[in-house]
Amino acid sequence: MSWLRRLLLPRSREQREKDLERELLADLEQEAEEQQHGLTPEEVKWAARRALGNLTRVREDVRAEWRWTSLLDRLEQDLRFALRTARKNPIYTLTAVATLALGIGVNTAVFSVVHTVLLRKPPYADPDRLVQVRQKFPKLGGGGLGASPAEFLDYRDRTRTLATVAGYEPAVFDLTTDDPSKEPAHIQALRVSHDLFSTLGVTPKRGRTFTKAEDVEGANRVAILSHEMWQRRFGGDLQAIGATIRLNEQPYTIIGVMPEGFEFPFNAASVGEPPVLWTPMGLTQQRIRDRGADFPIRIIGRLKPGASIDQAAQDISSIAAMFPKEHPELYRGNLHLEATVEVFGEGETARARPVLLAITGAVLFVLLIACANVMNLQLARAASRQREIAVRNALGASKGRLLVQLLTEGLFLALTGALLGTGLAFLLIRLAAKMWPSFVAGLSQAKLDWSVLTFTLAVSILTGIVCGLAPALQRDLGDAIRHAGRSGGGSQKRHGLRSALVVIEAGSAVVLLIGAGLLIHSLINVWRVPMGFSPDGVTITRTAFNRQRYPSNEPRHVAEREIEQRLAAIPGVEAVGLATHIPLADDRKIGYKLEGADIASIGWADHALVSGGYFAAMRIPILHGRTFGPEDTPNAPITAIINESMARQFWPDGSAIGRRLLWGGRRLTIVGIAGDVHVSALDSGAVQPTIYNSVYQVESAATTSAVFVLRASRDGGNLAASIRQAIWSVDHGIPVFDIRSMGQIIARSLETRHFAVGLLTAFATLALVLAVIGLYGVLSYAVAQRTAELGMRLALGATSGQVLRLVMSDGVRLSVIGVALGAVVGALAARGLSKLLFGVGSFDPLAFGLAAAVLVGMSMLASYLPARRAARVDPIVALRHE
Amino acid sequence: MPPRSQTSQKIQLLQGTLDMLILRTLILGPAHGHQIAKHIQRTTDDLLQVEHGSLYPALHRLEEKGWIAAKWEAAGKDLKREFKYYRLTAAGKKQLVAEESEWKQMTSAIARIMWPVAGTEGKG
Repeated sequence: MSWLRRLLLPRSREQREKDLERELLADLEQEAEEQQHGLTPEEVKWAARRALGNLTRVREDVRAEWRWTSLLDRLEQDLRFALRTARKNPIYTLTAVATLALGIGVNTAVFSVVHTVLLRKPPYADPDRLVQVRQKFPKLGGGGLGASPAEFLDYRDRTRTLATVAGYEPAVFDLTTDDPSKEPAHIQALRVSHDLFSTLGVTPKRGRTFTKAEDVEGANRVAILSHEMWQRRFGGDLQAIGATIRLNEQPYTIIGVMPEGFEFPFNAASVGEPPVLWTPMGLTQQRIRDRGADFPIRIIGRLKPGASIDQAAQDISSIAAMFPKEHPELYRGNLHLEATVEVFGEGETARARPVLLAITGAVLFVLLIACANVMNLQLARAASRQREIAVRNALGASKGRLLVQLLTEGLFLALTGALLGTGLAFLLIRLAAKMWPSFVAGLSQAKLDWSVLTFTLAVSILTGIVCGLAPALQRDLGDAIRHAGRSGGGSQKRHGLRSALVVIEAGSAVVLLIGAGLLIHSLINVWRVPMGFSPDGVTITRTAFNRQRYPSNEPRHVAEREIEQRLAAIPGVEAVGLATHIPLADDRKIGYKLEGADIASIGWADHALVSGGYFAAMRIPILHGRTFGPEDTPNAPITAIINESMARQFWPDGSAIGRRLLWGGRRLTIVGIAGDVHVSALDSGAVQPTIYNSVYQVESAATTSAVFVLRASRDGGNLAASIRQAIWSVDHGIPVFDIRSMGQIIARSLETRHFAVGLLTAFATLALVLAVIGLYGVLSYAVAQRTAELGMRLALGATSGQVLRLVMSDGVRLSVIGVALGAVVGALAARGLSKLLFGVGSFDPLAFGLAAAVLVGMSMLASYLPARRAARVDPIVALRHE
Repeated sequence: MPPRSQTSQKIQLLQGTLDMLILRTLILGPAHGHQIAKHIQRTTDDLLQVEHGSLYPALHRLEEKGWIAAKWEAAGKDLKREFKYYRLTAAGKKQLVAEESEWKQMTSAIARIMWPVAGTEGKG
């Protein structure tokens, strides 16, 4: 295709010129030869020339036919012109480029995060066909649960819409070695059914996946490593396959390594540490028999070809509906079970999605304001360029050519802005990942890859077109010619457009201010929620006592008590406690019922196993009765402390002490009532019933986790060192993997909210500043244009106060219209924020009122400066001005 | 520039015809600009004078459109001189057929208006 070749390999202009010259010369010589009939050489030459006509004109006309080459030529000319103009007006250019860099930069940064967290496809085959099975007990409230082992097997065996069904449950392991120089590590892992990887449609990078024979109790001492773990632990050595690692003091054989980038079920929207190791689930017969004991298994399935997600939901729901018929003793009353499916991964992104969408909306408004500002700049400059445009038009530049010129200028500004903006975006992403490390994992993974850069390019081209064409939008370019050389007058229409732009800017800023106000108000409400404990001076230390190192509870108790004592001996430490789970970070629920009540009345309670000193260390008041003491031994009757809400719910007369509860097969006697503590996030609603047991009395799966809680009058770096030393002086094999203050724990539990508030407030501030600058610019320009008129007014007796008010009222009028417009849009936008609001209605008078007040106040300030300049106009100078 | 737009109108009137004539000429085989001009002139007994001011822009236009292709080749006495020889491309051949039939339709339509068949008119 010749056009394709021309497009890809455009011949250079010089080449074509040379070619044409040669062609015409050849013709000329040929003509001369044919004219040689008794003429002198000089005469021959002229005859030939005459025959060919005006050669210069021929060349011109031929050149006009070289469309592609001439297009490139013109582009080059226009670009040169844009550069020249930019260099001649450095302040204008800098302002415009910086504004666009801000607008495009924040959009690029936010898009890169959205792209990583919400848009990226998980690294599985055909991920849209993967579904997650979710169970819930609607009467007990709370979110989606997993399934019990027996339920998982029922779904797997009975489904008619899912091709394969795989299960998985989180696990943590202590990774120990005989090398005393290596600290024991605590790793996140996953126990999975053998067919998980085939369900996902992934194959390992090295080695193999699990066989069915390995997914059996006793045969399941094999493990697959993540790529990252393989690199970290084995330096990427192929010898790792077949090697043995010690997990919870048990040898496991490594049989495979997953490819780089494989993650399951962790994704970019998750928080915390991704699993680095997978082992077969190997369900025991005991666990399968105990149908109602525990619901830890998450289920993933792949839709059969042709099956829709709705069909799968119906299928799963009807399987769950059979359970009560087969096990009438179990699924009754509060244990009424419902099940459904959702697209896999939806649950993970549910938390981050509303925040990221809100932020995306915010940056689009920022870009809108940035565009409006640059358009205003362009308009102001177009007015002063009327003369230039008129002259160029008179010299033969067509209207289309002038439009292209304006477009080139706009694109030049936008693309330069995009270049700077991309750098800005890079810094912003880094900063955000540093400030909110546990918002989502994707924040630190976000990078400026090709799709992000493509997005940036598209946005900046669009921006460039909008900004570049602003002067053309407002009026016929021909007007420029008619107005050429004359100043003032005829600017009414143009001023209208500029005012509209200011209104849009003010309105957009108000929308963002309202959004930020709503979120700040919500955050303040969250802070006011009583936590039920005092976090000041509290440091927590996470450790683990695994079953293999401490197979019986007696030595464990001895070690734990010893550690508690040694920690208490650290100078400055006032109180020490031990808990398996701590509020605002951990989540553990148990099913309980009152003694003598029907199984159908079972309820969920937050649960933790704690030592007697825990309440003092956290400053949780014991309202009635006592805390756990040395008398609560494993052989004594099991005692429990419940929270105030639970006591009031069941025994409003205050007779809770001495009453009995059932938890699984255990019978608990209430010996104390503690103050209410917010166990789940502060913004998650009312406090739920909570049950505490003594960690030195009750044995459960939870007791491998041990969190030591210290209240100290001092803090500082060496406290952590003293803690480690105290623990390792008792047993060097205990992993100490997380030492942090309770304040950090609280901050982390509110990270999503902090992220949303921080960014939205930053963007609202940016929007406000840009809008105010825009207003200031327009008013200043208007005052400059009206100098003559204002001077006339002053000369005719207007006081400077009157002139001041005249100009200021212009500015305030625009901002008030903007506020009204912004409030309407803001009310609509606030609905989108509803998931992030806490204790605040979408129409919060405080947020709306403050946003309006801030904007009007700032615009009064912005109007005051040009107004003062107007009031000080010297009538003589002003009249001479024209 | 107003005068320019006038000329361009005039050129356009001639343009289509000249393009067709060039394409038709090249059916006989590759030729350079001078030969094409001379061929048209001779064939029409000097009735149609092809000016270089029209010929070369037309050649470059047809080349841009991909209807003809060019190649430098030596010719003349002792192959002393190089000429830019144009030849018809496949697309050009198609274009010629299309233009030819269009031209025929137009001339017959014009003819019907200018010289209506005698008799049919008189009876009306």
